[in-house]
Amino acid sequence: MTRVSDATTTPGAGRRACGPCNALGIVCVPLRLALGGLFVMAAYNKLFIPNGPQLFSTSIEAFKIFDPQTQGRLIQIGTFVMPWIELLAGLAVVLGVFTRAAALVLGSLLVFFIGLIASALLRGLNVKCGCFGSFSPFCPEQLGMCNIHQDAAMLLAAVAIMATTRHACALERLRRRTIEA
Amino acid sequence: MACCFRSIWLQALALVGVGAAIGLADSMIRPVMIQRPPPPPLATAAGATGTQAPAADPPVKPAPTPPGTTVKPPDGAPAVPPPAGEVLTADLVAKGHITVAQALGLYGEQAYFIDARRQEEYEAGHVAGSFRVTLAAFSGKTPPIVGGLPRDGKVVVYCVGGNCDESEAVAKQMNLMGFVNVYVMHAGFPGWKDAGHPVETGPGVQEEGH
Repeated sequence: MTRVSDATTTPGAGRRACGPCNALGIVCVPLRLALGGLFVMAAYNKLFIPNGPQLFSTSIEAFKIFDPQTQGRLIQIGTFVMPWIELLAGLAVVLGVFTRAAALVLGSLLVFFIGLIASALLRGLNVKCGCFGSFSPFCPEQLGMCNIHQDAAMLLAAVAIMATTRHACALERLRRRTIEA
Repeated sequence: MACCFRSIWLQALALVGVGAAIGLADSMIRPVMIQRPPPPPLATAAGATGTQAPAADPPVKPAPTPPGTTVKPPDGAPAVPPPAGEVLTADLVAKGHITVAQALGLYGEQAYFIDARRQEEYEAGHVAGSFRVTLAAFSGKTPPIVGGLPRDGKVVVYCVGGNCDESEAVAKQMNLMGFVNVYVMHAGFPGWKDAGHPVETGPGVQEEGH
């Protein structure tokens, strides 16, 4: 394995450090497109379709984590902050910019979502997921175990992307090559 | 390797920070309604016996019962006591929740009833003359059924009662569209049905595609 110090001190070693992608880097391309694309779609539905933010705030309220009377401002902030983080991290994963860091963010979000859904199910709440805004591509509208399985599958994809050191078709590789040249 | 992990964590924190900053700014530019304005209080506390005077120009329900539905009359009983134990807290009353008895009073005033439940639940039985409009119907457009109702008309929204928040969410959407007299029947359809009030089965009138 080529160490970073080798890459910087040995002539020609830099190209090896950022050499051809390994198999996992290529396998990860569809995973990146799928995972990042899903998050971008979810964020778009929550932020940019008419009434999207209002519907998402209703979804947040339904989970009964915050008291609307005293913590309304927190719901308001969460309504916008969460989708913007999803949008930026999703785009970064798709484009291959800070890929592993963006996958870490998405993975952390998914762990949070799984905990939230499990908590709602344990409390017997009869709510809709709101995970992808008003759309529910893989699971029934009503929150259930399917949503946990869906998020767990996405979490596996995020972990695979995080574990891959060299991603194919990534803008960050283009940047490295430019620096090396 | 430790250096690599540190840079990943820093990049992740930067992503979250930028997203949070944009989101925070966005939340100040585009506020959302967290708590809906309470509707005007009903004239009587119980409202079950239909003693409220009808409005001078009561809204007319535009949807006759479609063919193929069965309507169960209320057996001629004008007043049915509310379900046992149905007591609304002051908090719920302030949010515009009403009892089944109060909802019956509004039913007598030709108020519009909106069913926010799933299609199969609606078709298995719903308040006679009610429309089915779910929260999803408000996504990206004005539901045609709701768009055709007068903004000053009285509206009662219901779902399955208990832990169901769908009716409250639909009521909020209607408030955002300019409706001012939107009430939530707290006990939902089970409370209405158990009280022996008019119900019907069949396709009824539903928002398409939801």
